[in-house]
Amino acid sequence: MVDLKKAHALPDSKGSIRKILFHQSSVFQNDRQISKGIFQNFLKNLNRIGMKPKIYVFATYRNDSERVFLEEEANQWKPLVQSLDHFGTRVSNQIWSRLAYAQDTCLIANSTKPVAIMTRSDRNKDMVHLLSKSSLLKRAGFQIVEPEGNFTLEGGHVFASSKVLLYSNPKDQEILSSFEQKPIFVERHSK
Amino acid sequence: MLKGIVSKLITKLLDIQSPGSSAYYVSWYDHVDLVFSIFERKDNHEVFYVDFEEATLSYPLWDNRQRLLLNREFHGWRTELQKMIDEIEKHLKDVSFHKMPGVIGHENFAQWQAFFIYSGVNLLFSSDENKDYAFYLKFPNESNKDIQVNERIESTLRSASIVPIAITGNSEFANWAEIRNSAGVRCLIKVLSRK
Repeated sequence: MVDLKKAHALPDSKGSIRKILFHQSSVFQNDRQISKGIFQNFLKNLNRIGMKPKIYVFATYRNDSERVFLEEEANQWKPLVQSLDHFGTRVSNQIWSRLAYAQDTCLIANSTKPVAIMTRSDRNKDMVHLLSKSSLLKRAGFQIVEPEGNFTLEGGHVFASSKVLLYSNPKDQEILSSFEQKPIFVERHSK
Repeated sequence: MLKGIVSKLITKLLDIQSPGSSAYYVSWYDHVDLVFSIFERKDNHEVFYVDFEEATLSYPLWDNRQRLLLNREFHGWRTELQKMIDEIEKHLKDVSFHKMPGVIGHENFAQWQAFFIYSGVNLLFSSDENKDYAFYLKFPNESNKDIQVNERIESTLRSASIVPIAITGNSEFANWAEIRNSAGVRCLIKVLSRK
């Protein structure tokens, strides 16, 4: 059994997960709202290997019933985390269906000043707008950077535990040069 | 819609299977799927790349003409991937490349079908003093036993001395839900730290 207190007293291991921000939203099966468990299981596994992160949850709901469900779901994560900062916002049905889980807005951080690069899709545009209206980003110490170019391609991802940045759009070299990661510019092969 | 090599491949596959269908399916493909995942160690880099070639699970009924077109598309995919691999190799020292399975297909529910992509390089790495770990979203309901996506992901990670940890939801539905929305574990990885 890992001693979490002891684990946290250790100096930062490269790539250890310390802080997470993610988007929480409802899922329905047969018209019934269900708890996904993905995130809870992820946290349990992190605990198992001695990590207990701070989490920042950005919840979107359409009505009070969804709000209550999401809050109750998040409450179950409390024993698994160092701290839980839950922020919920009501959205229209139209926006909600576009957000899905807004996967690209989820951040995980092992550094003190994490920055997320957002993909320029409509989905993320909505999410950036919602997030920037909340104070959650500030509380989490996160910043969102939107590149000039169309930040596309699979190579655009960055990894918390790697300092390597694959990137497909040389137009954004200036933004990227301010980051610690080693950039690898992979030219786009198709227009 | 985003343009990347995965979306290009998906468009081609869908249109080979059913001409014009990509216009409907791919219109909502507005997220990014991973092709590469890199784990950096002190002395080397473990680079994982996805290969969809063996696992177009939902397309069992390819005829000969379709198979020829499919081969051509995968040839194009391999060429693009190779260029990226060469680029990575040029920039990083001591690199080991590992092929991971990926799946493009349709998921069948009772009343409807949903198009999905599953990339075996949707990994979230984490390390402590002694070990390196990689979280991945467990691929649900492996109908094609020959492919064994989860087992291949795990054995590849182990071969790179990384401990695999599968993340699951409360049900297969929950896992599918995460995959449809672009893989729950992968969603946790977009971070940079500024100088």
